[in-house]
Amino acid sequence: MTDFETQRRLRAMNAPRMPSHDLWPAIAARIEAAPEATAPVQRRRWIPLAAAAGTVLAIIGRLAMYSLREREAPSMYADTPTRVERISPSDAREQALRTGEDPRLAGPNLVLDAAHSELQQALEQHPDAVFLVSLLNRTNAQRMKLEQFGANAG
Amino acid sequence: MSAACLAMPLPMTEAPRTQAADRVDADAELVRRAADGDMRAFETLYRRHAGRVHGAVWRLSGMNEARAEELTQEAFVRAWQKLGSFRFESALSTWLHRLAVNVALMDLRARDPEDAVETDVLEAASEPLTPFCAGERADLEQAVAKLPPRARAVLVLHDVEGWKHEEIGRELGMAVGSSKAQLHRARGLLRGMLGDSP
Repeated sequence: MTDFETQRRLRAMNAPRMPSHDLWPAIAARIEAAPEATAPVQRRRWIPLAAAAGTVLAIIGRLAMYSLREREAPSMYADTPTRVERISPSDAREQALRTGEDPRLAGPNLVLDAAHSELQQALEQHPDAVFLVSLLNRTNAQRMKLEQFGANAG
Repeated sequence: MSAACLAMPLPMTEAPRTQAADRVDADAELVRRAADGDMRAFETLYRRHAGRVHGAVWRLSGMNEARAEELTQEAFVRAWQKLGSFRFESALSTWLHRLAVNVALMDLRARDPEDAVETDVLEAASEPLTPFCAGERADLEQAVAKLPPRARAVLVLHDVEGWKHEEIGRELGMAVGSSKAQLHRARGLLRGMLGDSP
């Protein structure tokens, strides 16, 4: 057999070949026996729920912190505007100074808020992306930590 | 080689384009149902693709039927577990084939860390098989099966499955040059076993 003929024959080996017996019963049994026997997508349905739970927890934490601070110094936060629109870090610092918020936290707060909203948008587009959920949860944890720093710093 | 041998038709590897497109569409629907937990849909996918998956792992396992059946089972169990990550960017058959090859290569790495050339392989290389027309394919399969596992994997992936050395190197954790060297070695051993001069 020449090299060319060997190559041709090798290429021709690329053909389907059925197993000698039906493997499906064994495959089905292994799938059923696996601890997570449910289908992949069903297992992944917790992802949007986890994201929502993380966000709700962060909001609750933030609200709790806000109400605590308000109780301690109501006049200080009485005219704090709702932070909705995006502003630059220097504007945020000035705004924090005006409102009495710790200006050292204004920049990080702004960055975390921006990251949070971008992650939420990305999650809306890719609800199955596990890494986005973990990033969102991490961002929320950092926001809560920042709130605590602010509260402790007085 | 006789004319009858050369005239022997090679197996069809590709269906006509329209049939293939229909098949891809049907696969996509079955994947969606299976990903929602429909085991019957996954069984249909198994029945459609078992031949290609089993063929690939059978060749990589050195035509060891029992081992290939274990690897085929493993490949389909993993496919079920990973079905949610299938993005419909390629045909399911391509995705499944790749997954099965990876399963076989992982098995190869686990079983053959040293990849020494067994004595019987060298003996086989010095005692050429006597090819005859009806048994040529069987002789070739027998010779490929006798190759050292890593050399066989490179030969099968390159010459049978049509992979590039870069892909083979990546999957087998070796340099491109090593993949080329293994292919050269495998072809030389094959020539020896089939009775051709090196």
